[in-house]
Amino acid sequence: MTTTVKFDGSFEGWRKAAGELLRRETHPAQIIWPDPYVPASGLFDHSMPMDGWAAASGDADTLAGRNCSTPLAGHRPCPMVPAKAWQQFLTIARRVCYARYRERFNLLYRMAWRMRHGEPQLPDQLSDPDMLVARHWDALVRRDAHKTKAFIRFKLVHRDPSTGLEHFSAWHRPTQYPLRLVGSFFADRFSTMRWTIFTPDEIAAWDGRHVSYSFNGLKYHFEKWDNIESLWITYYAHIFNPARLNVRAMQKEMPKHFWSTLPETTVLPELIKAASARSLAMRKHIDVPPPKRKPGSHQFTRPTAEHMDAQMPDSARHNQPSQGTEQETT
Amino acid sequence: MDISIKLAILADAAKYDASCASSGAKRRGNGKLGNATGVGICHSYTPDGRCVSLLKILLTNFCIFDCVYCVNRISSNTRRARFTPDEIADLTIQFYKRNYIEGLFLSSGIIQSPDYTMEQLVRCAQLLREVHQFNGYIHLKAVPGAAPELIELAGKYSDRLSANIELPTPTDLTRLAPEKNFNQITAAMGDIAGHINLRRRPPTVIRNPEQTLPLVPNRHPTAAWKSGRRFAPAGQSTQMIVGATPSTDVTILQTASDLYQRYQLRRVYYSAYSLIPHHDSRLPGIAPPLLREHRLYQADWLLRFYGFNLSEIASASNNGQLHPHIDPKLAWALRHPTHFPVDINKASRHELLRVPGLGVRNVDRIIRMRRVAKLRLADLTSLKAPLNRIRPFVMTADYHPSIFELKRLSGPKLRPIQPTLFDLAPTSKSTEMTN
Repeated sequence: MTTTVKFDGSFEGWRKAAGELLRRETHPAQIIWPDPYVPASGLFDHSMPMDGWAAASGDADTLAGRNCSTPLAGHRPCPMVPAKAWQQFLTIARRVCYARYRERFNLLYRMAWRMRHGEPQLPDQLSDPDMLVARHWDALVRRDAHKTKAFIRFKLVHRDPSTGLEHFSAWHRPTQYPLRLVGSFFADRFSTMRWTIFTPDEIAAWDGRHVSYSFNGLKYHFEKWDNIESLWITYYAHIFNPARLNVRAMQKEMPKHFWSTLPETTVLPELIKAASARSLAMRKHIDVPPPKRKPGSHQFTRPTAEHMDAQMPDSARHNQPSQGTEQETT
Repeated sequence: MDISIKLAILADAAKYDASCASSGAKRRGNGKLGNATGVGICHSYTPDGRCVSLLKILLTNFCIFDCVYCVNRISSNTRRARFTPDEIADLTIQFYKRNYIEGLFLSSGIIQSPDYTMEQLVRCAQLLREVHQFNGYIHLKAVPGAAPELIELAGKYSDRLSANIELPTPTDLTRLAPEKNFNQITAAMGDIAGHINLRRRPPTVIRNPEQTLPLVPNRHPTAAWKSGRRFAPAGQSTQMIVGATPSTDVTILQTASDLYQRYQLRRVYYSAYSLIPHHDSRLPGIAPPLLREHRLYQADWLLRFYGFNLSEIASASNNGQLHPHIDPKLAWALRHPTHFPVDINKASRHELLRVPGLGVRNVDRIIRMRRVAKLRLADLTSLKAPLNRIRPFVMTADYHPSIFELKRLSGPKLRPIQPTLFDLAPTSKSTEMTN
């Protein structure tokens, strides 16, 4: 028989629930974890306050097997999970909880179960199939959390004329669910402002004391213009050196997915288009003509394309303008 | 003049400074605007693939110097502008509140005198810190020749200071930047390093045992450290222009490694000399390939994090130039086949770091993994490391490389080549040449 777990959808909530389930020796196959971000997926109650956010004291110990004095656990030896391995697992789990994969809570619970049942060193087995998936999701969430910190763009919505207090809002489209991981970062950095971050999945708001979260995201966002944006776009357009055009490297770090919420990307196509002309104009000022090379006069044996691919690290390859780049610029 | 025109001119003038790092300082917001997280955040990327982390501008691009490679030199007819400190502070705050930037990187052309210029820079930082209660990142340019008291003030308000070394040798500097003086620049670095040492826990000792240059004395921090007054907590950095003079890669790395040693720099930035408007005929007519810059960074990393020393890097170079088509670590490995294969299950961290294709993080992962079980070749695939590059150089529980693999690699690649300064490598062959 399988049961659906009721929990608040946060990492802390998951940890609390999983600790309880492990204490009762519930096998991973017996439970279903609902996805809090997908309303149809389970019994998640949207009106439920986020009380699970408060630290669940003692749960880590229960989960790691230090506290197993219940009669249920009594019929088998209760192995201790080394504290270091457990910490490593929790570090990964904290992020994997916010990956955009339905399976994530099942995976984490299965891993916790395995650690308690004979494989306490699971976090060190980097080539284990569960660990591979967990590390992959962990990396996705970590990257998306970082990009969220980078690509949030606040717009001034209101300035209280008497107190001078400013309210900002941002609209962001993350690829995972990173908001609960980055809320404290924004709270610390922008504590003097009031802000709200809207995403399609959830909302975070800072009132000067707490960050509150809601699972009711926005599906669209209306555009609002902030006067400082034009200065920012001016700066962006002028800090770019046209002689070093490298569109591929730019897109790798700033994928198109995020462009719609970044004001500076409105001038991107123009900049790319004008780059070669500007670079050429600089060259025209130069008296020394670039040395001409006869075809085939290479002084070295060029490795084959396959070789180059195998030999060069990624970043080096990005320095080479691709064929695609050249077409875009002409 | 309208603020957006000023911003356009002074951002244009600042873009040749390669640094945009905002890392190294860590502090909480504490109720002020802004914090520093220790790792920098790139808030945007321009189409040249470079990150936009700081508001990188000049206070002014008026300049009394005539450095040939610089777009702002006195003899250039570029358009000039000047910000007031208030405008700079306001712009920084407005950008910061919208999460566009991590902070400010402020530099300036030399106006009137080094002292006056430095004073203006310090005033901007002071305004931000004391009037606007700004707690984000500030990187100030240290003007060589400015009074020590001004440098001390600059360190008090900023997270990072940098005095640019500009060119790899004193001769290069005399030729292209006649008003600048190599010794004056290094003196400024020494000044900064002295202050940093006094106020901060000594950085972890690193780098090459073979180096003989005297270090700045590491006075043990006591009263000054406890007083809580910090001096440029993110340390100092510098920038060197590559390819504007015929100095070789090994000369450049020699200077860099001296600077790392003597002044405990956090970073040396290598900036491939870039074509500028209003070009001077004393400069080469073509920019060096960006790949050269990349190889220098690779070698720099080997020196700082992989336990290589300069003579080892030099031994794998061709007449002092790094090989353009193979990275310096592979070049070294091919020259020293007796060090390989390395046993993944037994080798020390130091030996593992020498395997081409294995980076610091993967080496640490291997050490973690091999505690649990003997590693096989298949385990290495889970590292997402380039297995094809690693394979000829390692042994695992189920694999021993054939001697021919190494021989096949070292065949054509090690044939000496002598790229000239004007050599057109594939990277510089972009559209403007073919159109």
